[in-house]
Amino acid sequence: MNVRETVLRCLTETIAEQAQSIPDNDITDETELLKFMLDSLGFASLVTRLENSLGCDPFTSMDFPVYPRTFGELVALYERFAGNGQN
Amino acid sequence: MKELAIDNLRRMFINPVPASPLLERCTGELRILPGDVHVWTESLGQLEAHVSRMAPFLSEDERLRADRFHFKQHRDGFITGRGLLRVILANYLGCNPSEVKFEYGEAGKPAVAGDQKSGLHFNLAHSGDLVVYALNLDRRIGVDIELVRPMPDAEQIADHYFSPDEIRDLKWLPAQQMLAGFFACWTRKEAYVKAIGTGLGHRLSDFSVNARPDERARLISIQGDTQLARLWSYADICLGPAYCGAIAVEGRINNLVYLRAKQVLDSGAWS
Repeated sequence: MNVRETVLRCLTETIAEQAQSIPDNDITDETELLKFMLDSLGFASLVTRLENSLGCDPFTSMDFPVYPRTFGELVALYERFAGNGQN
Repeated sequence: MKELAIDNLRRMFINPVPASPLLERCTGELRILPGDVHVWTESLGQLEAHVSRMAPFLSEDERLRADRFHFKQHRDGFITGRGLLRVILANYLGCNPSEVKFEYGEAGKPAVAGDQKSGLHFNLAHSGDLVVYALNLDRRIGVDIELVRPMPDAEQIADHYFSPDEIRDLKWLPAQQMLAGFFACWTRKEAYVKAIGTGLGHRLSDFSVNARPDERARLISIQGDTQLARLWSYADICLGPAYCGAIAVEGRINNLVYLRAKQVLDSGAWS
């Protein structure tokens, strides 16, 4: 499973668990994370889940964390920190 | 003076209002003193009927943000939550809700724009159906609430975000208090990082709060410095067993006042 697939799986699981809702359309690179209504604890759950799956937390690795706005930006961030895109 | 403010709010919400402009000018009769913290709470469900009245209060960028929500209930929740914030602030500032101007910190924390020169500080949080606004004068303030819900990954989140002292405190709790302890610790930490305006961009393990849910919230140390932590005050927000919440304030809290928009709507009085 590559980084994109892992991020998608973790995001979908977190939304189902934390936000009690699933978007009724496909998630694309342009999909804004705001739409999923994850609060800070939901976001923390997602970051923890991704660290367990990908072995990195980009937000604590950055001197000045920049938060992704879209799913594509989230994937790009983890691709950058998780290496070559393979889990 | 208080009655005038109540009348303002009642007029806004209850009286049939014709086309725009929706509101007469607010008089700024809500008073807040140095050391006071005013905590406004409301159920977003109670505000559903007011979406069409609230929407015109929003600025263009707020409307665009509302349009980005996927589900109507989320979009409406944002409109009423932001609209009520504008109504509340307008009653302190003495302006129309649509005239309240915001500026945003680096991590997105909203504040009353400096040119309105009010000294009014606020922060807001929402979870589940509840929205909370905390206001004071001249001091940084942060608030967080969470709907208490099962957290299968609570232990992993704690390991990731909590300080060693907090993790130790949580592990000492009886099993039946673990979830309450987790939410108490999370909301206390989140209130602090929201007060300083960094949000999750701050390394949460760099400071410690007490994690016991049956103790009054307090900041214990900031990067190991207990003196620095004593410059901050905390208040737990009591919203019943379904929600856990905390407020962090730079300086002392002399007087904590709970206010509910619904009480104003229903009875014209608050307690």
